Amino acid sequence: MNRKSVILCLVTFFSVSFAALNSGSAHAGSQQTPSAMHQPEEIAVFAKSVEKYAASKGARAFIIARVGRPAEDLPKGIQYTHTAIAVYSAITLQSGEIVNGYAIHNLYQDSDDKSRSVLMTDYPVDFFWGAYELKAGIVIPTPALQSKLIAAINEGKNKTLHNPKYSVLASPFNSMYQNCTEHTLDVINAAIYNTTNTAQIKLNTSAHFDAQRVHTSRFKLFLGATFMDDITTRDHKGRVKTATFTSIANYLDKFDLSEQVATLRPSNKPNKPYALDVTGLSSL
Amino acid sequence: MNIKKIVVLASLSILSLPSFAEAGSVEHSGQASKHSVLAITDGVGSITKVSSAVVASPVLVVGGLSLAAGSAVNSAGESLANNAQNVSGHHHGHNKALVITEITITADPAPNVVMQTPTVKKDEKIITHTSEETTVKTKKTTITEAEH
Repeated sequence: MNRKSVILCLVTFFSVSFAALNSGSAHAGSQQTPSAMHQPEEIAVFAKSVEKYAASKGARAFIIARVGRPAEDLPKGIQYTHTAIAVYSAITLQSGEIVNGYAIHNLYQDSDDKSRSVLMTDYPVDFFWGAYELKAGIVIPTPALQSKLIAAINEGKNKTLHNPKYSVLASPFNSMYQNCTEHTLDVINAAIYNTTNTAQIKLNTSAHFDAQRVHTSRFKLFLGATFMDDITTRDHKGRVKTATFTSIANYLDKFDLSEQVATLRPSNKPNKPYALDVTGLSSL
Repeated sequence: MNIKKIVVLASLSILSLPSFAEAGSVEHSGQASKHSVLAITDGVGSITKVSSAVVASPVLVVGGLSLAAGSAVNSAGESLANNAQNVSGHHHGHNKALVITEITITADPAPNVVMQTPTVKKDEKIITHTSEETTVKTKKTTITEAEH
């Protein structure tokens, strides 16, 4: 095989691989697939059971996370793929009826342009629709922080803090890129420090927040940054670290700002459709 | 390292690239079928009712009362305690159980999905204003209908 053939082979290989990576199948669990991973009734019941659980704890605002991929596909130590803020709300239905439930304030990766993101409010059944596993991570902050989070969202601070430049591996210590978890962290810190000054928020994040290291090889990171629109390491210095649900849970726990951290799974008990298996921080 | 090894290594690496942390946060625009499926599921088994939401307002706690944010009361700065919209019918303090609807609430599909759904014919009145009179015309026009 001469040099030209080798180069041609590599170019062809990367082109095919890249195309596969950007297809829906490559992002398995990323909710681009039109069909749910579970039966609709299962999803609806699980979503409602998570709502009921949070409501039973009096949570007016809490951090919520889902799993969009098989655990074996995730880097070591990372257990959730999407994080957002759920707020107890008065929800006006199409009928005009007003009911109480949780609205979830998300930053989602744009399905048409993976290097961009959009803010979107949805509801628990939407949130868990494409989940790979029916499992929720929740952090219920202290009442004082809950009030601040609600005020922050009510004042539109989540919109002010939105940076549409998306990177899967965004560093939470600067504002070059943002992903769903970093946005959640930014809103939390905006609520805590009562500011939308990004420089101040990032300074405080650097001082107090421990990001989670992404255990993956530099070669993979290089290939990802080269071939995928939503991966870059330009915003990182040294080891790649990002905000995750677990690191946010640890952050709030470290500063006594959380009341409960839990993992919720359906318990599948007969005649108790809304029963959940609840495990604590150690299982995160 | 020879070329074969490089190719094999590159293959293994790039094929495992989706294993990054945040994948799984792509927006739901590809889930138009969700609304159809949920509509069919409506009333089946444990699901009592499915409904789309128009808007959600955070519920604030003021003086022990639950208030929907953004109400006229709040914007007018009137006495919250006297004019509150007590959406859940209960006085709430933190850590007390909250009322949750049994209805499964879902967001509508993304605008581009709604715009692509099958169409129905509907009369639409077009009102044109002239200096002398107002002309009202009726014509058949095409509008979109969201899936539910």
